[in-house]
Amino acid sequence: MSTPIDTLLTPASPVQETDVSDDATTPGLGADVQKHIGNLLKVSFQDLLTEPVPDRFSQLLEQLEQAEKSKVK
Amino acid sequence: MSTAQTLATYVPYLRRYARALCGTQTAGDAYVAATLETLVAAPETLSSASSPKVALYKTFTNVWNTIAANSHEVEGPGNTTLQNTPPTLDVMTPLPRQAFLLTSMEGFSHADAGEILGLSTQDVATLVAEAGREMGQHIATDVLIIEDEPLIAIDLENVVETLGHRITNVARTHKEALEAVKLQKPGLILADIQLADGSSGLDAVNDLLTELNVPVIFITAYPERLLTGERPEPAFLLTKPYNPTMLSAVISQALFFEKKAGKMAA
Repeated sequence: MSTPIDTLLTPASPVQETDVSDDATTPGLGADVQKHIGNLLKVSFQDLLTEPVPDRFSQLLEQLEQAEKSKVK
Repeated sequence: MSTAQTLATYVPYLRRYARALCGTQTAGDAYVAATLETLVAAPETLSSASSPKVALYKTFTNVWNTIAANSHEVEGPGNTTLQNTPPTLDVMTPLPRQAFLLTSMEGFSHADAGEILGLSTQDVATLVAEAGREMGQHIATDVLIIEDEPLIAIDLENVVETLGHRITNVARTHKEALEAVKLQKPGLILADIQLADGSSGLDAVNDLLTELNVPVIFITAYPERLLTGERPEPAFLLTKPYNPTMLSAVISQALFFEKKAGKMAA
């Protein structure tokens, strides 16, 4: 029931080179695919960039600013 | 703008990175807080790197490496209940996971990622490649192709196998697809919509999905038939002629984000 693909594998068949892996001998996700997944992860965590930073972080950043100022003085 | 004000603009990005790295927002934020505390205690650290952002991530890395060595529980898969971190991220080993997230999600160059991790640019390239292999191994699955055009089927097989997946079968009709799944259940289906004998790949997939719960990618020259028909959710759609790199990306995306925890290798 499977397609008789062997009969179609002639030298002329256009086997396209995919640039998905830096090392063709080791299956893995290449740079382009990693970038794509990285972008999707960005989208999935997008709320973190728009929601207010927790107070604890604001306080620490304030302390850091004071620490910097006292260092300069 | 003071350095602290500059850092404030980077903190949301660091929270995102920490969230992805640690598996939960709670654990991630704990590390971000510890990072800021470290900087308050030693603000001169900020000028020790090529940029304040790199310094921030570098300090975070030091904190993460130090504390992770003592308390592994904060990064266990049991703590991923708050939101859905893709399971593939959780199973990656720490250094490749860091290299992947820093370069592909945070957008750092290999040189900056190296500075953050305390490694050479070449080491980062090696880790990124390792990350690709680990992700590839984790999402590797059995793929059913439903496609009646032989040359396209061969091309699809090449792309699928290059990614490290196995082909269970190439079905040319609705009927063949049903028979193929009786023999072996796939973890992913690639399907054309218009099949040779006039049958519909969309109907075939809808039939298959009554018994299977797997991602489906439709590849068709007639996308409007999918848009108007009764289509399964979630489904991906690529229009012929497709770009092999895009197909690789969509296959990987479907498996990376859709992989069910129950199907993970123990």
